[in-house]
Amino acid sequence: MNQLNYTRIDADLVKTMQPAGRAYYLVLACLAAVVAWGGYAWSVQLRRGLGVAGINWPVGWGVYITLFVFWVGIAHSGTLISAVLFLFRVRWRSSIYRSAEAVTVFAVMTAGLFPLIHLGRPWVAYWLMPYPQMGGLSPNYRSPLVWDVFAVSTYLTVSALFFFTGMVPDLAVVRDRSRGWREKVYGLLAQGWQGTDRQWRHYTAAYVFLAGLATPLVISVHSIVSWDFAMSIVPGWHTTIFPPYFVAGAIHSGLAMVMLLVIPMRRLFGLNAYITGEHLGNMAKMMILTGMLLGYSYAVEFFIAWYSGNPYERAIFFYRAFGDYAWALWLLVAANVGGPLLFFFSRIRRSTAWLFALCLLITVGMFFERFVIIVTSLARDYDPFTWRLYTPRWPEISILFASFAWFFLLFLLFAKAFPVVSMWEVKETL
Amino acid sequence: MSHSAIGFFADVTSLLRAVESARAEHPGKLHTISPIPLPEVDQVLGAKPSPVRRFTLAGALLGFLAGWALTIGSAEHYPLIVGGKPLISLTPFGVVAYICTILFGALFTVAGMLINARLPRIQVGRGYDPRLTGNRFGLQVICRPEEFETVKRKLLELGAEEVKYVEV
Repeated sequence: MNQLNYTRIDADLVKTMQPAGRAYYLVLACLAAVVAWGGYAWSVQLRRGLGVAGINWPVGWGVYITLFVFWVGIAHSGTLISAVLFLFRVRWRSSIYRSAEAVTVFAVMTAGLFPLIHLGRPWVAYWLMPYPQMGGLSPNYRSPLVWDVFAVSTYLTVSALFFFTGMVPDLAVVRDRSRGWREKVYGLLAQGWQGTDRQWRHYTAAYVFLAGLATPLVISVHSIVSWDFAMSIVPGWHTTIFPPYFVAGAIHSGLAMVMLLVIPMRRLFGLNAYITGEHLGNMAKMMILTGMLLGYSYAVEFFIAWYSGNPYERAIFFYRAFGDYAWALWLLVAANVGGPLLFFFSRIRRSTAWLFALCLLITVGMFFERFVIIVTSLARDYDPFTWRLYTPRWPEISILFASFAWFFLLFLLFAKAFPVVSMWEVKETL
Repeated sequence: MSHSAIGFFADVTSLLRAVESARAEHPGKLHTISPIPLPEVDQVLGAKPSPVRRFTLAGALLGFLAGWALTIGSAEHYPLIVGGKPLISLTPFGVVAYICTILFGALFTVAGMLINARLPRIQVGRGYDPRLTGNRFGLQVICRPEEFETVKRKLLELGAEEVKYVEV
């Protein structure tokens, strides 16, 4: 980044927010159409009931809960890159953390939709929240599902605060380089920021504490999500390895998603001077670690199922590997464990095409990881009489694609409305 | 109404040199305006650590207590044994208390930052210059109107490219 200076940083990054071309609006319209189709599918489900979806007894948690777990997981890399790497003073994070934080906020916003979509009567979703009720009833705080409500809503709040707070000095830069209504809007968002020593002193202190508070969330949120499963006695779910296993998977999938967004973004916006091969290479190296952690977790799950001597545990893991959904298991193992091993080769780490392709594979693999955990255990419970296969139907598949369209739509809007790279932190690294 | 002179510097080094030189002559009347945080300035000016940490601590403690109060209070208010677990189940309630600790801590941190940094403001202060969020570093010296010329000369001697008179 030696060729960069303060003037160029401001100019380059404010330029990314200039009015977009026709292609941008075309992509936006396509994504909005997919979201609208998903909305229609949901409306059909609301009118006719959950029976239009493939979820049924005994597989009551299908694609919707798979997507909830998947999107919460995607969120994790943002907090890792923005908060954890900030506390460890990792300098290369400065160019990518803004996009990673956006991924966090939008992924949690997407995840939060799924418990609602999954509900038969979403209009009573507020029953999960503590509110003054005439009968004096409260949510059941002993249930991991209620912990989830608290954990995910807190995660969204803290991530959004961290995301927006980190952007305030940059919004002031945009305000100072805009005219007309944009100056007014960014002026309001910048809250009168001037960059005085007093403001910076309190700002940097708050930023450190927010990072400190967000860091335990990286570990705890997906641990709590994993307890939705681990607290039950369903074979294949009732295991203590779930929290670290879910957290490793969350970071793995999140890093892949950040790469999937950052690689085209740096090309389209011409940000090669900011998001360099070193940044992408470092993220790929982190994915080697998370991929190996996942590989270890997969192996331990199978080993413990055998070592426990529990016939139900042994049966479910045998079923996962050789049963109806075995194709999904082997796909996820190849994608999540085998794929990242290719990052050991520096030629692959340096090739954006390879990075993009492998990250796409990992994203698909991580979706199937959640799918296999949830569906196989429910499809083959204790009693053979209850065994039944699950196949998602058109509303679930429509909503699956709509969730991706919704996420990318939010990210595209963000990329044009806000600075995608932190100007003040990049300036600080010069 | 207070009056001040703002000197514009091209780089951090010359700004810091100017702050060190002007500190003795204008104690308590120096402020910097910069596009990046300058912890060195706080050191030179002897600024006290930000009280935001107290807000964080207060928020976290309040959240911790609120989490326990919410869960235990709810259980006491409507006693209902669920899943064979004790009425006051410390382990699961602890999860809620932990989450509330983080949530309140974060909210109080942001509130502490806003209160101490005197934000949000509808508009920037009078005399504010957009170059100071860009590529210039400002040293603001609070002075009386009749002192301006002296301060200006001094700032120019210390390396300022330009000195502006500001009424705030």
